[in-house]
Amino acid sequence: MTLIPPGGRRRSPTEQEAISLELVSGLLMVIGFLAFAYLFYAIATNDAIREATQGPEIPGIGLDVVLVEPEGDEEPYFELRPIPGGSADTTGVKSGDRLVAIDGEDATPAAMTLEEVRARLAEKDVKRADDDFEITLDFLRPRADGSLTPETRVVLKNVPPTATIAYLQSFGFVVPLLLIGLGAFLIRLGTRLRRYDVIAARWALVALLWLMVGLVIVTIWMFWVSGKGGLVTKEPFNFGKAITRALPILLAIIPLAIAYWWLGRISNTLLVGDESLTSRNTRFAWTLLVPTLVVLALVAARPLEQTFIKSLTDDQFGTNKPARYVGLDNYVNLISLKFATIDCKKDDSGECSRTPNGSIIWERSATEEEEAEKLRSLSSAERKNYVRYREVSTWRLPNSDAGLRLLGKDPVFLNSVFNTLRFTIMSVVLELLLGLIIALVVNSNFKGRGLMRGAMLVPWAIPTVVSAVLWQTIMRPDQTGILNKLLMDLGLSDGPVQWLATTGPWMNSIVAIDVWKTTPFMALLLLAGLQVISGDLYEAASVDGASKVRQFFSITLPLLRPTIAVALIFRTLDALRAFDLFQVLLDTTRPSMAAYNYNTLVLNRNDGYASAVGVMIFILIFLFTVLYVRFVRIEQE
Amino acid sequence: MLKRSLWLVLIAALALGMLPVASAQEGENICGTDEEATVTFIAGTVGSEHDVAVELGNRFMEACPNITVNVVERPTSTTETLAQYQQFFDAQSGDLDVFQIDVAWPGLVAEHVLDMNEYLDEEFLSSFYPAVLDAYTVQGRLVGLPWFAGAGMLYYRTDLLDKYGLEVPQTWDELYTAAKTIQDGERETNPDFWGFVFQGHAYEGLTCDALEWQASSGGGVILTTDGVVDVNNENAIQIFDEVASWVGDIVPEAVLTFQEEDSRAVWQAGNAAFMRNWGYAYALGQADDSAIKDKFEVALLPGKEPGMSASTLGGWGLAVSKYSDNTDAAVAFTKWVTSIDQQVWFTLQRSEQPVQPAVYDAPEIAEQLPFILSFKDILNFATPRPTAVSGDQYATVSELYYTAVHDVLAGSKDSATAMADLELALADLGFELP
Repeated sequence: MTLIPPGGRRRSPTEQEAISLELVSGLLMVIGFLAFAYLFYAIATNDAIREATQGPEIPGIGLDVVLVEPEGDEEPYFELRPIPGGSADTTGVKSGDRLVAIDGEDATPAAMTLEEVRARLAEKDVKRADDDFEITLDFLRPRADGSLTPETRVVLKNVPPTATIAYLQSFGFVVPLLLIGLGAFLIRLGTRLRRYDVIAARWALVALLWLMVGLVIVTIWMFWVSGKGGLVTKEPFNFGKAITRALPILLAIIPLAIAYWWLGRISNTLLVGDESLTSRNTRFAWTLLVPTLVVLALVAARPLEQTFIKSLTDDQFGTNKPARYVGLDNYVNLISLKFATIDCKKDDSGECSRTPNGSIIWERSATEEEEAEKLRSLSSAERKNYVRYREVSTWRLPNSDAGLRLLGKDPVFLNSVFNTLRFTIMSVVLELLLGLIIALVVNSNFKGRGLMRGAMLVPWAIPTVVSAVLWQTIMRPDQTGILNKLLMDLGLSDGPVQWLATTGPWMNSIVAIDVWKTTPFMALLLLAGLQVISGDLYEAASVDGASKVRQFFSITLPLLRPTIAVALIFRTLDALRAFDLFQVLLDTTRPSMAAYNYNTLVLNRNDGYASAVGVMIFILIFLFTVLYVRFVRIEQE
Repeated sequence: MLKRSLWLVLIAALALGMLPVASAQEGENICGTDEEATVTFIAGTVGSEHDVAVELGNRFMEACPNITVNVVERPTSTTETLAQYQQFFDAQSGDLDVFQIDVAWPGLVAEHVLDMNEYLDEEFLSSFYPAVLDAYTVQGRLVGLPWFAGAGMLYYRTDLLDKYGLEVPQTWDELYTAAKTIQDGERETNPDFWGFVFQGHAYEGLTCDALEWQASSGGGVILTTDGVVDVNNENAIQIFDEVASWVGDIVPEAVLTFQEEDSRAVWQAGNAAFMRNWGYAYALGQADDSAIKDKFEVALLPGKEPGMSASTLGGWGLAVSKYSDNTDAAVAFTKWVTSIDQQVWFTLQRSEQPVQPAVYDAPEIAEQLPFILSFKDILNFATPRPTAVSGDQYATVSELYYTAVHDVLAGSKDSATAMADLELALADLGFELP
């Protein structure tokens, strides 16, 4: 039985030391188990999950009904009794309202029994697969003067999400995995420590240190939140409550501190052993990395994961309607595409007919006709869930009356991808060339160079939205726009140019504005690269008789390559995320990917779908980055 | 004796004590609360809208010194404004208390605003036109108080019609001929002159304009009240093709990017013979710095045949956020703004269509804005946008519609194809095919 680490020697522990070591390893294991226990406890007591599995606290629409049989000639009626806080209550159904109809169906005592009414309003009638989350109630409301006024309310059924969605939305993957990882790690450390493993002891020191720091942060957090009575409240700060909640956590630090102190003291005497340099370095790296990883997990991984989880649902923005799990449907709709050949519509002379501005008028493709037929055969609810193939773009085939049509389930998204790619390629190439020229000029020695460098940064310093509005004014489509005025006064253009209209050269206009704005940034990056190149090289080249052009291609360009690569990555990723210019200068029919994401979320209120768009953008940008990084590395080799 | 005087003193003290209470209660009726409160009001950018809203805030603060009114500007584009509101609503933010809402939005915002029925008595509400009140009512809940209405109108230059001996056009064909005649004549001296301007940018405003063309040609109203798609018919196709053919002829190509203020800029500079716009452009056109002061009038929009005119019901209301911290003050503010006195003042400033019959009867209106009186009945037969039937899908319906019409105007599609596609796209949303 080898208890001694490889290459290590240790003296026999005293009885007291043996007990202490057992205690410390026990402490680590307990904390490990606590991490597991906390996770299970949180899942078991989570409100959303409990509602999903056991039904909500206030069932259905939160409405009780009683039969009232008034004395005298008056007809009996059903009286509504909303449960406070329930769906009916918040929609404005009041106690004492007299039921007339449910979903348009007569629901008076003459037509329905009390049991039937209750059954109609009960939770069990609602299936999550139903599209119908609402119950329409017609009732009579007694007024103060004794009269009855008819009222209608559409009450949202309180349908809890499915357990899977409830779990994913509350916990996700990242945080549980972190907790399980931490628990397993601590338990393993504890068992290894019992074997007097010096490496385990040192890892335990790291773990204890960060656990203490974590607890201090949690203490401060608890102190603040329980004192305020919530994250955002306007209540005065309650010190008593803050201290009673925060103190126990602070006290939990004491055993950790003792363990840390004791383990630190004996790790060099009792557990004498050798640790390899690599393993020591690894541990040191982890010591420094732990806080970064935890913060990254919480502020980056968790929101990203939430976006992904949301993209699996049909959640809506700005409403309380419950979300349904739809699997990968959103993604399928985003990327489905098909090609079809089509013919143009012939006019009487057998030529292709055209719109007033010369666009060819096409017939529908066979696929589109099939889709239209299918649509006609579906019911209203089915149509809402069915997504057709529609036109994305059409090209005329050379020398024929036929065309090629790209069909997609989400034409606007596919167009936004093409727009963004076009924009990215055009703007980045132009910015690189112009930026390089400017950088070379500014890098040479001349008077007022400092001023020049400062002045050239002005366009880049202006916020994009502001410069977009500025250019909107410059590019106004009539003579009030300075650009049109100038061109027409100089005789360069017959009439005003529609810079930004659908009929005009809008893509070029947008690229021009972006080039105006971002070239200085490119130039600045390249300038930094140029200044690193030593002047000696050029001197030596001049002595050898190399021309300026030769110097540029043999010295400047190769040495500038890494800088160019970095600048390209920066700019490409930025251009792929373009939002401001498209949003301000164009309408919703010609968005960039990011602008489309915004429109689906805010304008069309499709939160789930917009999340899928967000994930797609993430994937696209990620692919670009990977490609770039690989490409650059190969070049450098 | 002592006892009696004590009683007297007591009664006197009580009476004196009651006085401030009584006056405070009276004050409560206007201000809603006696405590310090801040009401944040998001309103207006079109024309003088923002200045007038700020002035209204100042006047309210004079009446109620304990309340501070902050006026926040909304985006110029109606579509963008809605987008911004949605974000406030989704966050359940109490930062904004009173929202200026378009008459097309009640279905979209109903979930997030107070039911005004529960805060205001019937007597006050009976001062409004019932038809306008209905437009703001969703399933029995009054989601906003009407502030002003709008109906699309035809602005025409009286001096130019006289100069070329023309009548006010009653049909779209007459409008084309008149615009063409005037434009050809005026171009000799003014190369920037155009016959007709409207709102052709791809946004909510185009939905309003296009609905007028369509409805006034017997081409349907986008969606019928039963939810049947009503766009793909000969009349609609024909009028959209006709309007598209005007672009670049009597209508500047730039109209494809025009919102209300862009068309008003051309019009008010004296560079257009006709304009389709809302009532607000009247007061601004009659301002002293306007090039067309006293040279224009307004009339009903043309139709396919004389008398077939249609005007889209526009206008704005005031809604109070459910998430507001100062509900009482906010409701009091909206009530005060829509009181008859303030509405008369507002109408004189903005020349928008009033929503209360009593405002039309004010003598100042007859004196300064006689044109408004001739539109008094327009609210009763204005064409509403299909908001009631589309509910919270309205934004999507409108986007599909204006995109299709914009495609036709831009010439990238012909009207027949665009309408056939639109019909299917609306059916996708669950509406019935004819």
